[in-house]
Amino acid sequence: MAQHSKAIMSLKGVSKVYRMGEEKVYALNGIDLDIHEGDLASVLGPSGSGKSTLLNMLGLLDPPSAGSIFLDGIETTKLSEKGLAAVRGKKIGFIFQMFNLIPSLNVLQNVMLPAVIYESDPVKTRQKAEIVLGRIGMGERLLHFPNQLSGGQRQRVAIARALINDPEIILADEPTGNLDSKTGAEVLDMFKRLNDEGKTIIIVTHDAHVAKITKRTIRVVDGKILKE
Amino acid sequence: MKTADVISYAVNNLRHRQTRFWLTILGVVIGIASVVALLTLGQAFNAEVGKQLSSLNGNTIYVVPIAESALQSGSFSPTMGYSSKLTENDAQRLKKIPEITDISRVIERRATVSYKDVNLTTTIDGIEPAVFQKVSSIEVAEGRFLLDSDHHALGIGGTAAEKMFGADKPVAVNSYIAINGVNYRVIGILKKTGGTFGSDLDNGIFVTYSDAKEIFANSIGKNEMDTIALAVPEGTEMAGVVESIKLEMDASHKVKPDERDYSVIDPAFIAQSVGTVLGLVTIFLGAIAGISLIVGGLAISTSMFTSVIERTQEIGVLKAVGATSGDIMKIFLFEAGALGLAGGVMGTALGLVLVYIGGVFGLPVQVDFGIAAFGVAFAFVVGLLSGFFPAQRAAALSPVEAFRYDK
Repeated sequence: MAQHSKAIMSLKGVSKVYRMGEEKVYALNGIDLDIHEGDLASVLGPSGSGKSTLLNMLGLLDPPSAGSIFLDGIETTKLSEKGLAAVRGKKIGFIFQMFNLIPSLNVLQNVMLPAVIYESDPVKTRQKAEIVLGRIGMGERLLHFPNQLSGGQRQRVAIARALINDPEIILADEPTGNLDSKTGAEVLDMFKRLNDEGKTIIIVTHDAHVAKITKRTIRVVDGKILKE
Repeated sequence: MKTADVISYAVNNLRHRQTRFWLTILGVVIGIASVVALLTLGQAFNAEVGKQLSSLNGNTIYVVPIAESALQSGSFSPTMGYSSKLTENDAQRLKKIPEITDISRVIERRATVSYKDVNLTTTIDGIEPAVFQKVSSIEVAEGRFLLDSDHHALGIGGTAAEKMFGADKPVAVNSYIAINGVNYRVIGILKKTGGTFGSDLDNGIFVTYSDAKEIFANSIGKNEMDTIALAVPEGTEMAGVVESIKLEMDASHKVKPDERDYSVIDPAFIAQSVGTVLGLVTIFLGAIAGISLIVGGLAISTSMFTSVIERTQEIGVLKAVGATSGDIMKIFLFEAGALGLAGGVMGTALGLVLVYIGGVFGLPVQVDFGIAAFGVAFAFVVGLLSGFFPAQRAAALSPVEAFRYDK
């Protein structure tokens, strides 16, 4: 698929090696990958394919054993732990399969968390959180706690949380994995809408149905990316 | 992450886990309560002892036949008996020291006493009444004190009169107490001093020096005595007098300074000994309180470790959305510190209540806000220390943990 917009994320020759006793296991083996602005891509692969490791690389959660990762022109592999945390917080929005809301924080506080960590202006952050939550239909439940919400509602809150810092990329890990098919479809619709508004979204999944709605499918097998 | 946000995050989390919160701080509450109560008690004890020490006669020096080395090293015990003898010769030499105004010879030995069919063994003090009255602050409750001319008469301490022969057999003036089978008339009962140290006037039975010589004729030589009490005028420079006494005694006993078979006890020596004992008592109390605090600290540590394990995913999420290891460390440290602080506040309150109750029941304790502040601050520090390793472990977790599905 030809992409003419600029690459906001590039993986160059990225490998990840784990040691299993004496043996070296290549979870990723010399991967090159460009993510372009406005992409709606799925990363598809069976378990053990290296899909999760690729997710960790894309999310800047784990450093590669070899190769470089560029995000928005920054060579992230050269950043300190602190610098990496800042880039992650500002430029990547995470959505998890288990939603992973903080149980002791209410809806509003959960959504504001990345901005609080990034030390954004509290008044603006709050306004923004309320707007985002309103847009995804959670405006009435600002003071609810996660355990008072359904799975679909929790995932919507998680999406709002991913959006609060206006990230370059939204990285979703099996976002429909813990939802029934109807709620899952709603969440996927939301992704499409966000993408239409210009957000770059990567969905990591083993579910071919999810991959169908994305514009681009990146297939991972045995630590390598198959030709798209 | 701003410090204020770290604090509010940590406090929020503690509020969400109230049952665990209370269970965790219980140990610290008990620990700090005991620290506060014991420190207050220790302080009251110190103050009380100080008061009693100052009521001792500060101008009396005692010479006793106990080797200086044994007394100073603390290895002397009353059961060991005396290591030498004090003689009339010693007394005569000491009389020559110009600063000494009075000299009182004392015989202090154990004898069998009987009163209204009750027989027991107790210490009898043979004293020289006229001088003894000058060197000890004696006040009489009933009757009169002994005179040098008295024969087969005794004075008895206030507590001894009340209780020595049983609470139902108080000693009355002009009744008779037999000492080693010889009847002595009770001539006076002393006022209670309430003192615990020194010559212990409250529990003593006093006879004249010559009567004591008669009672203990079998065990003590004609020219021997057990203690020589020396009085000096108010404001005398004690160290110099003590030096003079030692010079005379060394010459009289023909000993070198490092092999003295006697000891000179002056008020400074008593204060020093008591200070040593009080120091030990304080350390002992501190150690007990310390142990309970360690247990409290361990409870915080355990709870925090459990919390780190339970919240692995939460920590992963925090890191994924931009929190640094430092932020995570601060969150967990603050949680532990807050646990300590809360335990400290409640423990201190409980300790003060205990102190107050103790005061109501007559213990000479007083609420001390310095100790209270110390209790709270100390608990906070204990919390921080207990939280250090759990916080370190939390900070070291990788953000990848957020994506581990299997819990």
